[in-house]
Amino acid sequence: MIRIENVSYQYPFSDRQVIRNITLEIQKGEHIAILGANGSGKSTLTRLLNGLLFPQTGSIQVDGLLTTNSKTIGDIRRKVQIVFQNPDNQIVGTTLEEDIRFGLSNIGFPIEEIESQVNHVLKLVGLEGQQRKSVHALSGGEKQKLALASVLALSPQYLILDEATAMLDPGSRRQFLQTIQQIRSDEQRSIVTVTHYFDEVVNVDRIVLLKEGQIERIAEPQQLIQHPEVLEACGVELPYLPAIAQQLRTIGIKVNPFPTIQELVDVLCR
Amino acid sequence: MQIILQSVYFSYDKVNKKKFKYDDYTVKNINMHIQQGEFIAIAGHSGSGKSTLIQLIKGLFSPTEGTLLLAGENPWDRQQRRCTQQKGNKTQFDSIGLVFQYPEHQLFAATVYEDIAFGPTQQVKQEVLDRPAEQWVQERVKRAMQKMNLEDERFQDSNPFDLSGGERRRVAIAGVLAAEPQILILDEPTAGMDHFARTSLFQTLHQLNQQENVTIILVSHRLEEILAHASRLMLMGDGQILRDGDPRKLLADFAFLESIQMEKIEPMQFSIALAEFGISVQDPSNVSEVSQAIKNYLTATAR
Repeated sequence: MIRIENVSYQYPFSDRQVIRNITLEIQKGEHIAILGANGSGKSTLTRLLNGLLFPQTGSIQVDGLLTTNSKTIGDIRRKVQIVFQNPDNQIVGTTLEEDIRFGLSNIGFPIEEIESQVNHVLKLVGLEGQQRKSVHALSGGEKQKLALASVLALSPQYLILDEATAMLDPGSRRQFLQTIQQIRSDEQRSIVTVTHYFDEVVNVDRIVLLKEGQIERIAEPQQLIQHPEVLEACGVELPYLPAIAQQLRTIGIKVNPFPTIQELVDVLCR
Repeated sequence: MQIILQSVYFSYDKVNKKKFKYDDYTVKNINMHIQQGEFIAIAGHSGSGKSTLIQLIKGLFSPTEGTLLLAGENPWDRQQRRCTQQKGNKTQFDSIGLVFQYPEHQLFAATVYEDIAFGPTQQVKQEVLDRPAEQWVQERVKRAMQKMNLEDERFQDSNPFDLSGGERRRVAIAGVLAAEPQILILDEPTAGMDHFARTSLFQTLHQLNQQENVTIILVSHRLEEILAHASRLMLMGDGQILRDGDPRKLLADFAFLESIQMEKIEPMQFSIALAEFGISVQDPSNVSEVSQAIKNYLTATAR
């Protein structure tokens, strides 16, 4: 469990707190989403979780370890891994295998097990059999999957996806989200998805809405979608079909908050 | 400024022109006419040649084959280049503004003002000015900041790196707008932007397009965005322009979209479903219009 208690953070030389007194617990196996406008503190919060940044007030504990304790920071950074927006900033190898090996060698992973671990994670993200391929031959979506594979190889307890789909084309984006759904079945691992797009997080356990560095609301997607005005105030737009369903509900037509096209068409046949 | 491409081919590598091989080229056989004041979108998979094409239009590369004409002239023509050298080196390409993907990574100055002023300060050397250079630059920066909603006092002197990602993006776009281009090309400008920032960016683009007749060329993965804003769409695949036309027609051709592995978008699917009930909507991506049309239908059938 990650326990965030009364955490505030202000960047050096800045006169503004970007995180203001946040308290939050992320449970084992939970899939949580962080939504909010640009500048609301989403990315800063993720960097606090794995000790890239340290809180100025309050504390963060990962499985009982304080991020400010220099003796255990290595463990924390291993437990909490981030996939960033731009895979080019994260890929270090020239081949897929080399990229995944890099992280594994750094944490002292048993050499004789490296190969099977590489194959295992490539399979997880749908890139099996491509270990010798050059990373330059990968499309944007494949690169992001490789970044995910390299991170998964380290068996993180907490996986953070910081706008990991922002640069992908629609096809790659869908594939990437499917991969995330698949690895989610691992009960031990918690996932934190940071995004602007509500349609990416309709299946998560809880959504944390951030506004100006504070938690505006924590709710399940099904509850949150009933309050489009709260979402909009946080810079999040309702997806197309739920937005129409929402408008129809205001005139008293009962329809699933996350409808399919067919369900909406059925309204017309009533 | 009209943009014309005639049978343009481009390759990043040296190619043997005598042994013509189609696959040697990153963009192939591009023919297009873009009139001043259009709002065009270009879509296609990663690697379909979109970025290469817009960089060709901006003059960052010259076509390997074929001709590019801007306002009827070929800026790569040798004689033409000699003329422009005499006119202070200002070329047609200078009237084109290009906003790269993640333009905020290219911010470099110590303050927002200085960063936006960089372009106009360079321009001062080329333009015939009707007022002191300093004032001319100042006015341009001010206008650009207004367009990108950066007129708030706190921005001008702040360091770009103290701003949030979305704010930095706005500063970077303002830097391109400060040159007051006739043609504005944007490569995935909304990636990573929140709903506010996206709405406000599109407002600005429509304003530039309608009030100042600026040509907008938008490269985007988000077909919903294209449907909502562009009046013409070019679909690219494998370095070629596969389709060129009205987004509402092209995005309704599901069979074709499927054949190039592009997705059917919900607003289009839904508006086609609605059409079967005789409900027609002008703008399928406009949620309130669509909902209103459904309400009207339900009230009419309830009677």
